[in-house]
Amino acid sequence: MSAAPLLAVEDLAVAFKGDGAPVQAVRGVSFALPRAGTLALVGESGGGKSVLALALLGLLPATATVSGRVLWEGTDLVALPERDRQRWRGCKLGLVLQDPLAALNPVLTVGDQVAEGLRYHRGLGRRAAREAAVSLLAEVRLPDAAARARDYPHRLSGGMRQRALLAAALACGPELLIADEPTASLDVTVQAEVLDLMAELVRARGMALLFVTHNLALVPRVAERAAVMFAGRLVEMGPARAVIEAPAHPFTRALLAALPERWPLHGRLPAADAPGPDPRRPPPGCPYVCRCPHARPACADESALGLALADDRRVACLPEVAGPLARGEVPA
Amino acid sequence: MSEPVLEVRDLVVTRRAPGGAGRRGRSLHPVAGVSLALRAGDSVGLTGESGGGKSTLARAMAGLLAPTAGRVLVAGRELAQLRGRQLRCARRLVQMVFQDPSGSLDPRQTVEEALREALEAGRDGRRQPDDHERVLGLLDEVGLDGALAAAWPHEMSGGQRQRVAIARALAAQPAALVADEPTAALDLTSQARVLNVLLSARQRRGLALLLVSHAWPVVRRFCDRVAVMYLGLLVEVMPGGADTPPLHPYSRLLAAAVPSVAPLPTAPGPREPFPGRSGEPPSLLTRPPGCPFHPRCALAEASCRTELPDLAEVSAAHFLRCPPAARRAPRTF
Ligand SMILES: Nc1ncnc2c1ncn2[C@@H]1O[C@H](COP(=O)(O)OP(=O)(O)OP(=O)(O)O)[C@@H](O)[C@H]1O
Ligand SMILES: Nc1ncnc2c1ncn2[C@@H]1O[C@H](COP(=O)(O)OP(=O)(O)OP(=O)(O)O)[C@@H](O)[C@H]1O
Ligand code: SF4
Ligand SMILES: [Mg+2]
Ligand SMILES: [Mg+2]
Repeated sequence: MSAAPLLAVEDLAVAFKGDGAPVQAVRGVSFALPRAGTLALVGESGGGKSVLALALLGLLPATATVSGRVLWEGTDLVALPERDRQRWRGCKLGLVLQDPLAALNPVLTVGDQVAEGLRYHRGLGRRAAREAAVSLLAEVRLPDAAARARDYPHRLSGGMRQRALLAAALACGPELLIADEPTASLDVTVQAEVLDLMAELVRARGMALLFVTHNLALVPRVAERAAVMFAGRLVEMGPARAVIEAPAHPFTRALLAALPERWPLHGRLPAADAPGPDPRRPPPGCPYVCRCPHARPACADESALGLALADDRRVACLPEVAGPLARGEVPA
Repeated sequence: MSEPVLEVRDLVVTRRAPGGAGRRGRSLHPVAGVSLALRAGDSVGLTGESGGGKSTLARAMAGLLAPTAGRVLVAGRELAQLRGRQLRCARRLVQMVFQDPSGSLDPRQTVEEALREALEAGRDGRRQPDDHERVLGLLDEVGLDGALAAAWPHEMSGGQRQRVAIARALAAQPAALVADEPTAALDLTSQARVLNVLLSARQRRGLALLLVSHAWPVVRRFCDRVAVMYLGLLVEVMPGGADTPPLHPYSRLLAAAVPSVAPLPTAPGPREPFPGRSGEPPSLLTRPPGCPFHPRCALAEASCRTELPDLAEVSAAHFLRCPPAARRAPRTF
């Protein structure tokens, strides 16, 4: 028997109760992340990326119903009591979110915030924790780390805050780092540096990474694999380079066409005007049918969808559409 | 050439440094002498890092803040000289759209109410019987379904709200639109939709557009002209599109920092070294003398540290504030 992967998600679904029919934010998502594996979750706004990440963490509000399994080295986290889940989060997981100012405590110096994590998770004494915090801040290349450790978050620039947050996320020595749009609020010049830093730390420490973004251009910079999400479902998954070079799902192609670097010059930009499906009443079969230029009656038949282009490369589209698209041909 | 519909000449905006109390507080210059002209149908992209003064310039151009020095001209008439009806009319001609549409949309107004209000404001408060039709026409123009007329802001996605904000600006029949990071909070597909709306408004109405965006490829590919701002100054003004490469080391730094899907690297990681130091974005508080970019610049010479270069034309419609880069550039005239 082969060893269980670090993280395996099986048929995960999340629905939110509210007035009327529940919002089906995540539907039937399955993927695995090996130890030290890096995966980017890509898709447009409202696609369910953050809800999926929160479901893995066990941080969804009480209005959410979760079904399916989240296996950590074979143990199902969904079934775990909250107390154990919390302990798991504390010692196995690092989290970096988009808005560093909201994630950092405004009344604690950045050094103390990082040190707090070290004392709690590694049981270090006050002094040792403070020293370890400074070296962590230096590891994330916060300029002049020893002095900056005594600053409050509002004194730091956006890029420095995101570095500090990364240091805090690393304090417990996590095995998995979840980064949800970590650079969306940063200047482009700083964005590239923070991404490269994150990729380097992930490699150096042998962590696994789940990187959430709406920008496909960021993906090859940090992740080996890409999973494309639309309306709560994974529509395409595979090695990041293969997905970008030979996109097989029509939605992946639309995401690529939306990259400014691929825009036509001075002309109309490729963007379908149709909104996504109503998350309370998703259509049967493929959710992309409302926008897809290749849609046909068979798309409504769930059992007709699905093509394995390689062992590690799957597409949730009709084989007669996705096959030609992956080869760069126009489907009949 | 036609007269500019919106122009600034030697514009300066001075602000007090935060924390600097009373008269002795230091002065900052978010806009430190900018000249720029937009004609009907023009699209100019204003780009640069955070804190460079783009929003301050945009607000001054939209008449939302008074400059400390220099002039803002709307259809050839200086804003500061106008009063009463004429001032209102000039202000109406330049409309602004912001990054966060919730700031400009009232949460207690439906889309129809917001658009009617804007239509009425454009004619001194008068209603017209066919205003409902006009509301539907405006929604159609920004690619929204007429059914959204009855919607509340919170019921719409960010991209939809932004399109309503644009419809509201268009209701005033402007000659120029100043859009400050209208797509910064949107995903890439919504961004393309919002920009398409701006493009058709330009084409259909002959609107002049100033698009502020920190994203280099957005302004480069979408706009006919690109203006690069650094610490209150334009350092390069150049044609958009792919034919003219940027020459200023700062523009090249911005261009190189953009993550790209092609060509793909063999392994995850950085692709090419920056033509200068990227570092933390600079601050007006520590603006150095001479060329403000010199501490990060790979081409800096002794004179760059003491003298501020002029914005000089290096080829047709291409202006550059960097003598060392100009000397390296191939001459085309
Ligand atoms: N607490 C909640 N209650 C009800 N619905 C929710 C809740 N959180 C998210 N949703 C819904 O779930 C869907 C997925 O949202 P999610 O935030 O995961 O999207 P996303 O892919 O992260 O988008 P973005 O790129 O904008 O962050 C959306 O339809 C959203 O409205
Ligand atoms: N009212 C003010 N009081 C003090 N300083 C100000 C004021 N307005 C602007 N500034 C200064 O001017 C600088 C430039 O601000 P501005 O918002 O115009 O830059 P920007 O290029 O739009 O940046 P961003 O990309 O972050 O929006 C700010 O960093 C701030 O220091
Ligand atoms: S399944 Fe059909 S609708 Fe969905 S992406 Fe493929 S062709 Fe388009
Ligand atoms: Mg999200
Ligand atoms: Mg701004």
